[in-house]
Amino acid sequence: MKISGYFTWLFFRIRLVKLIGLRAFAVKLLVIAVLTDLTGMAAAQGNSATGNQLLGLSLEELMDIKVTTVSRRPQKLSEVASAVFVITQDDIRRSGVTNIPDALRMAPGVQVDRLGTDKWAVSIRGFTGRFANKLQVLIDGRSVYNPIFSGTLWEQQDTLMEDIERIEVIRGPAATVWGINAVNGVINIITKKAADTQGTLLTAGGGSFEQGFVSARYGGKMNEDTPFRVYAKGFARHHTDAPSGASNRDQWQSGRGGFRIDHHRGNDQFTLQGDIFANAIGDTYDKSVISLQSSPTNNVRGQNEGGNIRFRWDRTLSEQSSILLQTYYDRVRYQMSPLFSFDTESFDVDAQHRFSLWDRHDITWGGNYRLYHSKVFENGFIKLTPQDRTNHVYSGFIRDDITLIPNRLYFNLGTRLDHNDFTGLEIQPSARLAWTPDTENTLWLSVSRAVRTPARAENDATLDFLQFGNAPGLPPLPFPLKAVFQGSHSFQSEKLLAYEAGYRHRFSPQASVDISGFVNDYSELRDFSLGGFTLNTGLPRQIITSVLTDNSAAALTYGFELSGDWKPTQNWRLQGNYSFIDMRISSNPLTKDFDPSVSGADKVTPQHRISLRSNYDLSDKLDINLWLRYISNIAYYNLPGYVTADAKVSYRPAKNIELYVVGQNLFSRNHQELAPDFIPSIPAVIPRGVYGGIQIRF
Amino acid sequence: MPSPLIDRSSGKMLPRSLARLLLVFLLGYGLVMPQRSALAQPALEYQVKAAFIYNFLAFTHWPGNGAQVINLCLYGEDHFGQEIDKLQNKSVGARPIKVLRSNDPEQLKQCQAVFFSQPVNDNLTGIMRSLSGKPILTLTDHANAISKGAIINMNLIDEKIVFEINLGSARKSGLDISSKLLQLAVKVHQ
Repeated sequence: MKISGYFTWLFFRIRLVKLIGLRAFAVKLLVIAVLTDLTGMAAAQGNSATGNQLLGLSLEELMDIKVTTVSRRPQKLSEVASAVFVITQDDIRRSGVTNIPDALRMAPGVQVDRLGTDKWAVSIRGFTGRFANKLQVLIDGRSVYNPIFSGTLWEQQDTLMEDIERIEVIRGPAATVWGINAVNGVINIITKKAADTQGTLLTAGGGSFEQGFVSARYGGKMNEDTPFRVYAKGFARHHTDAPSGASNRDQWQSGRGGFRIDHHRGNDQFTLQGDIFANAIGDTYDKSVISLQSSPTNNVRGQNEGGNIRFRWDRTLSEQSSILLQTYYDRVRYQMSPLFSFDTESFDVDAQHRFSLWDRHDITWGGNYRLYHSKVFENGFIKLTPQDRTNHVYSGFIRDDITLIPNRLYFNLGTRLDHNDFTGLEIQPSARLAWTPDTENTLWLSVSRAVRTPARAENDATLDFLQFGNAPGLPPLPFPLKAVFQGSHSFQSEKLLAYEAGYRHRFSPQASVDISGFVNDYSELRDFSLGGFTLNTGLPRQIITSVLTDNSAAALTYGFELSGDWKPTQNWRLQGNYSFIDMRISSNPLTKDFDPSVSGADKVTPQHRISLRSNYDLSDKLDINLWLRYISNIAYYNLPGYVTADAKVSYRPAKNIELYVVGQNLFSRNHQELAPDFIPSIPAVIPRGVYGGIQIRF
Repeated sequence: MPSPLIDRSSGKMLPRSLARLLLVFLLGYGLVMPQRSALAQPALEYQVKAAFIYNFLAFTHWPGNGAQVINLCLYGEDHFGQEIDKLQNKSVGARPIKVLRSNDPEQLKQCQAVFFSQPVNDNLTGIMRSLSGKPILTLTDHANAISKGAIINMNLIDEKIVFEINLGSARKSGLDISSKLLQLAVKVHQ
């Protein structure tokens, strides 16, 4: 290359780093780039230590370089060779989304379906559902995993949207780094540091579906090295309607507050962070499915509340060496009588050490202990035996980022060993290779194994409230069929062997594309088998069959995601992505029609998804942002494909004031996105919504 | 309460996978061992800050003809290492840059620009005050330093370096800060 090619290379790196937002990666690559190229240049010019290559960059370019210290998030280093998409604070602001799951619609490969005012189904690369269980979701490093069904209850995951620094969405298994359940992907929500949220922020507004919201945040300093923030927010959202037009009575009121304190002393960085929340929610159940006639099925109101506290300590031992200790405690109480009431708490301790070895190896190793305690309250519908259970997970991991050829070829190897109470030891290795032949191109390949460990429900649960008028796949029955779902103590982990490849190309500093493809080979997936049929002699007359959980399903899925980013002019940015997936599932043919979570997952997953965003700044004071989405049909629920759009116009009459109007789901009065599974809530149609707001900063 | 169901799959999985893993590790190390070279890694943050400082000097105009040499002085702990010394080879227009390290407040008065590398405490406020009004560009990288008299202060926000300018202090010192800097500053204090 050397000298002339150097800057383009460096710019590409910076761009790439911006794209994928990996701090440690940035630092390492930049440092390596600068140094190795320096060595090369020194040799070429016979002039040693000519100095800092960054001195040649313009101020604008300097302002674009990410500089966080190497130690901060060492685990990111290994994610070079993965499909990563970053949703930034600017993306969130311009999209007008008011919650985290809706923000995730911006990322390729992610399927987000709203099931009601307070319910979402979120998954990556298939297998979605309200209780989707193949994702790892972290908020500031805290896993928001519900041990009862090993998924995420999205209505509980919230914070001040303005305080989110970015959301990293990793498609494909990342279990080696992120642990159990990072099978189909990882969603990593990172809030700003306290130092970046100084001052006062007040937001208020309201509209049709977003009936009203208010939030306040104050950031200050206890002393020079100890910035903090406190925040509180509250909102009320309207109920959704059933396709029939009746109200689902799922209107949602929420209150939340929290704090963060960062403290910096020498080589040490400390963070103490906590939140508490309370939600008032509601639901309407499908009477024809619930076999217990005596229970109320509509206007069921419930609440959930919880809190968490997290402490993190980072110590930088040297440029290449650092340690990290983190611990948190998280607690949630969920009360939705009569179907679903539980308490869960989790406690986690995580330790990591990172160091470099022989210059080309960057090694991170560590251990993790997690405790889950959950208690599911007895009711006539769901019963867990034992009711109250504590589970422990012990993990150890090691990974190595190896620079095979500086600037050109990187290899990442790692494995994770987890021990859980249900299936014992699980091994999750991965190998990744990244090749950057020149300044414009990056090619990566990976092979990895990940497992989804059993949830408590799969082991301990009995669900005996579901009845079918007609059992799919069976001849007409004289009486309704009552299915008694039964968990199994011999239920195994679901396994995935994933092969991925990706390619990134930069046409210019203003335009780039990223394509990732995958073949996912799942084995021992959850399936259900039917036991014997018996006729209930009492009333109501029912044919009772037991539905047993086993691991007899398998799947082969493949697909790709294409995303592009283009700035035609200084004040206009276009971002688009297209996701394709095809799923082949082999399972018990009987379960295909009543199990949307695995057996029928191919029909629940839309094959095509498109997202197009246009962010246009008319002036410093006025910006117009449009977002178009297309989702193809969902055969399982007979839902047609749909196109919808959101729009946000922001006006800043003064530096500290922003006024905005947002329109959501503009193209139709309402549309249905998916239907709930397991818990027989009535499906909802998601309405068009308009809201406005004001934000003041001082 | 520990579960009774433990270790069903561990027995056979571990040795084979471990052996495979070890093999790959050995192969990986074998591949790269011969190629290793001695790389020392400087802190990117200060490399970038040094580049910023270079730009600050380039976009500042000192009153009169001033000294021919721009003396860039570092006060306090030195986080830059050699990064700042690399400015020594550079010049701004026709004026070469000279990097000096000094902890003597009196000496600072000979400098055209001073970088204070530590939080501005009471002691430092005094020193800064003694420099104010003189044509000296005071640079810092700590929050609140602007209110204590610094002319340009760098901050780390969202992993990127941004800077704020105290235009009032600059004017008092007789320094002319280029509009380019003022445009890019996150905040300009009057």
